[in-house]
Amino acid sequence: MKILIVDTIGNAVLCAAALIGLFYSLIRFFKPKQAMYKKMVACALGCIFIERLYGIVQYAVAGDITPYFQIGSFGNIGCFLFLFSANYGAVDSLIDDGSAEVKKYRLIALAAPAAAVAAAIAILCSPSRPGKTITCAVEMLFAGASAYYSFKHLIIPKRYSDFLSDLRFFHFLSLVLAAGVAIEDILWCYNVTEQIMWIVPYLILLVPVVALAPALERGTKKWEI
Amino acid sequence: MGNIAYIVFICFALPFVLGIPIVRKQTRLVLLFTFIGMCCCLFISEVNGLLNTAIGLDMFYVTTNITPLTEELIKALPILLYAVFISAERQTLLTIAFMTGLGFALLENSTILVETVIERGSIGILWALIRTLGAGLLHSLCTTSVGVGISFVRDRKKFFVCGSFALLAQAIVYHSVYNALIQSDYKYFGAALPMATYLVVVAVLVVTYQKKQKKNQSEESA
Repeated sequence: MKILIVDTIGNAVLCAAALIGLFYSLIRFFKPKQAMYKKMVACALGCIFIERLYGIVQYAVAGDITPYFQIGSFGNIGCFLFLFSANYGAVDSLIDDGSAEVKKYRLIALAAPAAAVAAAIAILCSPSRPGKTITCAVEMLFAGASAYYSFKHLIIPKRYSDFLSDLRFFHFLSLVLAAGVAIEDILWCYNVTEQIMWIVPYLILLVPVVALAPALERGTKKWEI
Repeated sequence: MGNIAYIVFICFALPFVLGIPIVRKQTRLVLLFTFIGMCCCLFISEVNGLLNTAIGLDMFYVTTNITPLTEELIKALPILLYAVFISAERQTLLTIAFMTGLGFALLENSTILVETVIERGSIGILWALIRTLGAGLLHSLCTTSVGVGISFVRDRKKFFVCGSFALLAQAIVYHSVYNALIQSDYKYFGAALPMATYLVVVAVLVVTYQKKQKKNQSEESA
């Protein structure tokens, strides 16, 4: 029951933070002539908000998150897909023309999806029911795809992406978000019951949820359409 | 929903079909997609019934974790096909998406109305309000969000697949939250959720329209 309280409070705080971030980004990023990249990030925050709302409602209504396949994971999947779409669809082709020069950074960036795959394997090996573990593992694969571009854009030197260099903090936050979700899923699938352990992922997740939109706005000040 | 769904479908959907060849183009699109929404509802009621039997878990689990997925998928399909093969014009997609959701909600609400009347003998105004403003708006809003989103990403190949799926994911979880709330003691919060979202959407549309009007007026005067 204590876990439920920590979980509910954690979800409520994240939900409120995501809602504030969502409103902030809706007001700032949905003005005319704003880049699609920013709108995608706003939608990602929307996904986080709905996912956390789902968590709160499940605890309030059913008493616990289901041990089987649970649809709330689609919130995280949607969030990572939006971040992936934004990075892959809007800016990646501008900094990576497929040349051998950038190959080194492409390879180093593979560390992020590799970590996500490792997390997915750890989740699949957990003692929880297959429905739960498979859902979380799939979530990790989407997190890995998103993290690949975030990590790549974080480490790529300024000479390749002058306009992206201000977005480094934003990409760092995207990686923290993926790491936070991974830790949360691992704790959940391994049925960890220590309250202090559950505070960790919520604190880690709170940072990107709060700072994602302002970091993006600061990083894209130079952008003009 | 059993046979009642088919009877209600015949009663409500057939007039729409009969009206399609009579009316003009824009209205025809509205009637057509309302009808498609009803067809989606009928189809998915059978699919959900089969899934419910196959999964064998309690109704609450199925309605909060399975039916939102199947319903949103089937409702998004005609919008997606229209955007890919015919037109991705935002206003048209907004209209047809809203009407698909509305058609879906119309058949669902009508069937549940008939079933509830048969079961209980009578129902109140509050029940009708919750069903209409809750489920009615929910289906329309979820499909509209997917439709409008598709209009943004349709012309950009790199955004299209992931963007469309992400929008769908968002709608699915939103639908699930509603379904969970409406079956609980917090059902009024459940009904308020789509209403609050609807009011925000209308406010945004009104503000956007007013801004456009002002801009046009200033351009004309200049």
